[in-house]
Amino acid sequence: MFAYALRRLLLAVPVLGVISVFVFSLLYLTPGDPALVMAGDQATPDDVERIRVSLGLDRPPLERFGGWIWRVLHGDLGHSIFSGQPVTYMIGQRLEPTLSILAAGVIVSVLVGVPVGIAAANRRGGPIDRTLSVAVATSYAIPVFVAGYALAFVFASWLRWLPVEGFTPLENGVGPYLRSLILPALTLSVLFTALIASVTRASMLETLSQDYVRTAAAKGAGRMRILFHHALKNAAVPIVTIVGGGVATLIGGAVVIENVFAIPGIGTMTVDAILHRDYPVIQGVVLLTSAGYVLINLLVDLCYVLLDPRIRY
Amino acid sequence: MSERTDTALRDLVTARRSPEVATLRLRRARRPMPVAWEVLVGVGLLAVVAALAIFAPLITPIDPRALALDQRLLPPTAGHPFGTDDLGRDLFARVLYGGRVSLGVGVAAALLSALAGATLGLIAPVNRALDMLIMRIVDGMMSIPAILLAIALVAVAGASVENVIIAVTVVETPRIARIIRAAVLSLRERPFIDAAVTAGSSWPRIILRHLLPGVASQLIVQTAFVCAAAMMIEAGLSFIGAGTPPTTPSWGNIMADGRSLWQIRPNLIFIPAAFLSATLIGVNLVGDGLRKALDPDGTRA
Repeated sequence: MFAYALRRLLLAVPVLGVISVFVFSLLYLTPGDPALVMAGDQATPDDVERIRVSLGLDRPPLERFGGWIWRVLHGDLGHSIFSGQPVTYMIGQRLEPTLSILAAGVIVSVLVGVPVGIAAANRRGGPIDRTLSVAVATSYAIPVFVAGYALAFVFASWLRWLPVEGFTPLENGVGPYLRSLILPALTLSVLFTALIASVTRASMLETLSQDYVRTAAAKGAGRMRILFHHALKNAAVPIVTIVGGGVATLIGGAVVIENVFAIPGIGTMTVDAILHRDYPVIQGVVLLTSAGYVLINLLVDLCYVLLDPRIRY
Repeated sequence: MSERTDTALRDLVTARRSPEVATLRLRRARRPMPVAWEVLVGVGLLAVVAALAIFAPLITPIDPRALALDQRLLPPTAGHPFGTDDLGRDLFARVLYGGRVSLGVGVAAALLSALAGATLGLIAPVNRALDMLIMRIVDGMMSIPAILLAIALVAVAGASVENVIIAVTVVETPRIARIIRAAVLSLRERPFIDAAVTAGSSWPRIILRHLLPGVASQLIVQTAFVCAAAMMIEAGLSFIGAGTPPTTPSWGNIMADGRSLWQIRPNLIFIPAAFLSATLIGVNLVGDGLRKALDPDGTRA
């Protein structure tokens, strides 16, 4: 187990390396002089020079990359061109809303998706199964922000049950915090529930066709006991895989829908950074979210061993 | 159909020494290709949307960019079937012309990703070191959330339709490369490849004449799915202001324009959204139908 964890950790190193090289070289993809582009139209030559030095563009790329990586490994992602604040500090300030939406979205998706998938597999071709296949096709065809507006239209604008937009931090009370999370989390889970349900269904069908399930039925186990006691745990590995893999989609979805619900998280910060051409902030966001994604999938891979003792590495 | 028969015959000739492969191929070739209903519905949907976009100038005489400040935010009427936006521009004309950009981005990005992804996926297994290098880069790129990768590329390169297409291509190429490589790896174990190697075929010839036809069906299916993903990404990018420039109407862009007014005039968001969703459903139906038709046993991913 320990050796496996170590080997898996080593495999993540080249992936993180590719990500950092890509994020670093983003600046060189700018047409023309990045310092000039970032400074904007009203900048004096002094401003441009100051930005050039602060980005390190006055030094050769390889030397710059070395210095950049060194600082990143020490937790320094540079400073925002626009506000002058450290990028790590800015991201830290915005982390709570984004992580809250992501966590709530995953929880809702799993709590709805897994039971629906089990029910669909239980009666293959039944009403739940057919509804699920339509729901899956629909969820692939609706952009996440449209789903957000549709939900906001019904629950906030029309029924007036929930706030239209904004985010209430946890320190202002659990109730308001949860209320402000409902719509964004539901929106995210529109994207994800159908996917989890269809993977659960496929994995359960596969498991339910195994011999030991027939044996369990033959010795008189009830349907519920077969589904939840015998089958679910053996069907869990693909479900956990899709939850881990889907986190990338969810992060992208969160970035977009924060702008629907005016939530002061990483997503709205990214959009501000795009408007100001604040490259260090964009680089920092891409680097940290990707690293977070790699880390989550590392944990998912380690989970397999706990879920399925037959898996030996 | 005839091309499949040709492939089968060619395999019969080249892989004579492997009768098992030859009969297998012949049986596949004789079976008539089933046309699934999904494909028909999907093609129908796409034909309608594409026709509306292509023949936009014939359908509406209104310029999608023409401002009419005395006709702002009209509800749908006879003169403006979808209403007007906050600058008095006709939403019907904007949605039709916007379809040109959205469909164009989808098709262009899908073809470019298919070309780049297939090239990488076919070339990678030739050499172990090359395979290592390409696949590590693919792993790394796929670890960056798609929309953030696209945002980063468009944010630095500048918002234009071309840059959106390039960004989506960069996002989707690794996915296609990985699938094609996996298909090539399993195909490579088949006897007809051994036969070709024994017969002295060069690597480029094996790739183009033997491996490419073998992965073609998967490539076509993936290209359809990438087309849908590309239109989705374009909409997301334009929505948050890192996509198609505001002067060019695209479905994502029109929805972005309607953002601040969605509570008063929901048609500004939901009508372009309906067009986008209909197109995505169409593309996905075609992709799913092709997948089932080309691989009826569901044995491949």
